[in-house]
Amino acid sequence: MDYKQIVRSDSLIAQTLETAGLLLVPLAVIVLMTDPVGFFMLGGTLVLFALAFASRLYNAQRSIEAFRKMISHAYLFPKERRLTIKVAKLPLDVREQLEPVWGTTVTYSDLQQQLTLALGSDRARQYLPEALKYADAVAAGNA
Amino acid sequence: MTAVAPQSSPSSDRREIRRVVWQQLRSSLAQKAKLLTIAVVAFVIFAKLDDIRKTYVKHQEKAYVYNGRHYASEAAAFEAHDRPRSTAAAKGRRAIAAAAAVDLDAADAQIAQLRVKDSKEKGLLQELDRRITERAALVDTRARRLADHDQQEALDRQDALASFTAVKAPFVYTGKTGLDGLLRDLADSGSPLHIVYEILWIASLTIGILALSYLILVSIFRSLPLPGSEASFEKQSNSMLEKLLSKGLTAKIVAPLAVATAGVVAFSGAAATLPSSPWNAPGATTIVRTHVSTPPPDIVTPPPTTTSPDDPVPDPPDYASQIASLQRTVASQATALQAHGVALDQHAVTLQELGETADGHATRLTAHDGELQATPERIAAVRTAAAQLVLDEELERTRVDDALTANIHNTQKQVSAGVETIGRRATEVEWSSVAPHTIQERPSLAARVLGFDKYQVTEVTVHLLRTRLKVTGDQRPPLLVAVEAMQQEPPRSYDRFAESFKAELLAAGGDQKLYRQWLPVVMKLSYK
Repeated sequence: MDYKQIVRSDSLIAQTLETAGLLLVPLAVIVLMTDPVGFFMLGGTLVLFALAFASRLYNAQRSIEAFRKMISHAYLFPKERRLTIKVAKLPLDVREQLEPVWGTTVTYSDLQQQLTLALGSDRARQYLPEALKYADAVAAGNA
Repeated sequence: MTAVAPQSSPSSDRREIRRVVWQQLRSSLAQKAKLLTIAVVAFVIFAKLDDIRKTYVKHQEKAYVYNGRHYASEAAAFEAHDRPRSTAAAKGRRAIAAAAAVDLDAADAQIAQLRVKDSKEKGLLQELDRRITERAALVDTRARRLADHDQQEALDRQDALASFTAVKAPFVYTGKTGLDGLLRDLADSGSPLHIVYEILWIASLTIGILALSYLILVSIFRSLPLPGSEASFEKQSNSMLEKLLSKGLTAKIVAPLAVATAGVVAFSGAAATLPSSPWNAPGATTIVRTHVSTPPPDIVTPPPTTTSPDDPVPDPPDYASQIASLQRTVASQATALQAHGVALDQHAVTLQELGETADGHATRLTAHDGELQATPERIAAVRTAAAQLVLDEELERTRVDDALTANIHNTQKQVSAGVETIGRRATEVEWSSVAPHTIQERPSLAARVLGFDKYQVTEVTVHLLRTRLKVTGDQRPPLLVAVEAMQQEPPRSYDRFAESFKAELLAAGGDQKLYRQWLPVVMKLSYK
């Protein structure tokens, strides 16, 4: 499994901790010139970075769990949903790529691969969740 | 189509996840560090530019050097150079004025002596006129000598100025002559190179603010659910940073904004400041500039100097106008003196007329003297009568006070007797109405078990006991004697009260049987 593509560790908390820790570094250096308290501030920086890492690790675990849950299912695209207004609002190239899957059951990875090849990784990542909104999750053996 | 399932072991998965998370953390920190570095560098440049400008302005305020001291202008330096000569000239001027003042004082004294003389004295007025004329001549002489002195002083000053040259101090910031010259041109608002300074100033400020804002807002932007989240903020900011670092000031966002801002402000600043600007042409719209521009030094008409301790030479006084003012004052004084002489003559005539009526006044004064001699006796008599009146009033007041005090004392006695009577009657009313209800109260079981019940003999106890025993007159059975003896004791517990009651009863002639018979009654009447 390519975790580099799956793991999402960003969060507001992690980013805030990193920013605070980074801003604390020059402040600690300035304070250190006149007061040994600067050492404690540098220690505080390390603590903030450690907390940021822990927060990112937690987020990564959750994102992997969500991904595993997603790929453990197959997805049935009922034919009648092809004509809904929301589908009609999708871009033309996305709709073209979805044409073969209406009325069939596909796995997450197959659909992702198909969209990535046709739309590129960025747009595939954007429209894959959109497409899955019109599918019903079924057992993986039905694909 | 088949689902993809993970095949690796859990421990290697954990290691791989940690590695990926660490990479993401490192990447995020690196991006933030870049932004922070850019912000810090921009602000350092900004602070340095500001310092250069402040140093230049300070240098311009004290640009000229003479005898190791700095002066704001060449004129100020000349004043410092010319001080010994100008001081000597001022002394000479004061000496002329002082010598003239002695003569004028003498003339004034002679005029004053003539004024007090009898106006009918022969030749007095003519003598007075002559003295006044002499005094006016003295004033004219003094004015002429002062004018000559001032004219000579002005010529000497011109000569000294022609031979004086002040040295303009070089602008020193780094100590390197060439670089300091460049920095001076950059900081000088009259120099064409100043526009570069303004561009750098605004650009550094803009880049610093943008980088710091980006750094602070990055955490918010990255956590927003933007479409194509991977390429949302991190990718965009990284791309921007790469462009910024690789292509200088050609980045798509920061550079155009910074260049546009810096360009507009620098252009308007330069157009408003440079002497060659058409905006500065006569009749053009005036643009207010906040920068300090030093005017060229004007030696002939020096500007008003400030009171700074570093400026040792004050403004030279305007002697010509002062002399003119002095001459006007002297002329007006001479006119006033003449008018005064005329007034004195009129006063002399008036005094002569008044002298004729002086005899009548003397007669009346003699009569007044007689009256004044008799006045002390009359005053003494009036004082004695007043003192007698005060004494009589004091005696009357004392008598009234004594009577009032006696009256108040009697009234207080009556009030005390009334209060006592009312209190006694109130106590009787209480005994006959409230107390019987009070004695029906019993201590609760818990209070008795825990020892919280207290007992004390009061007047009510004695009264009720007396009623129950049907005691009349002076009869004093042992029970009543014992209870009355306990009246002064403090509240006590059941056992202590019973012991005390037994002791008092036996001491009063009672016995054990009487104690056992009356103890419950006394306890009931004494429950507090």
